[in-house]
Amino acid sequence: MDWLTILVLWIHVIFIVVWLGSDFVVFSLSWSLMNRDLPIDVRLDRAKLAQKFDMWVTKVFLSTPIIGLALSWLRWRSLEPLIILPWMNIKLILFSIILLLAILLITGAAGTVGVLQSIKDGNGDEEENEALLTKRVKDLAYPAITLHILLALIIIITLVGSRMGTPMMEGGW
Amino acid sequence: MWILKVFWIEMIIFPIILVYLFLDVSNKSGLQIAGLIMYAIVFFSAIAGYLYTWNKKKKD
Repeated sequence: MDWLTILVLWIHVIFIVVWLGSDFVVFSLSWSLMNRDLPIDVRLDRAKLAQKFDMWVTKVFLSTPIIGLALSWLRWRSLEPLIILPWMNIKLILFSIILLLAILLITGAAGTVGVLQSIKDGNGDEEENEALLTKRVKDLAYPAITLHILLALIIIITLVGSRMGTPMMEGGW
Repeated sequence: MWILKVFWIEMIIFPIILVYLFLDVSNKSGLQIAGLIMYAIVFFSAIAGYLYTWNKKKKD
């Protein structure tokens, strides 16, 4: 493997770690928004912080498929192995579920800061707003947890599959 | 936000690339057919998701 391929491979690995790590931070911050013992200003700050972190998650997430395609091209001078190798097929199928969950999260995530701002400003019924906030956080928790599990599975498949694929394609990674 | 525009563009273009690559294979295996179906679903979901958020923004 040449140095450029190794460099891109490491960027790919580091980005996945950053994605997984930042996503845990966003998840933890979002979950704490339901804690009514915390002052509303703290909850609002946490919501804004989660939103900022989420932008980094989105950037890293969006770079992953592009780097993956580039990596395939650098390693094999073709995108065909992505389709031919069975372990890569499984990885791509799991990644397609992650893409579907990402679409779901992006379309459903907006508005949390707005709900907390309404609670702070006293707009509308407080209990109704709290219930709306709890529902929103819990509804988004399921896809977020599934996404983490899928990502962990993809990492395992990559580590195992890249070794198993060695005799199939003139060397795995 | 620019990153959301990039998100929708990528959610549409990436599945197109993969659907093309899967379609290009003759004698598809079960996994390849599953991949083809999944990325077709991602493509249509991305279009639906974009239209949903676009409509939501328009209403707001």
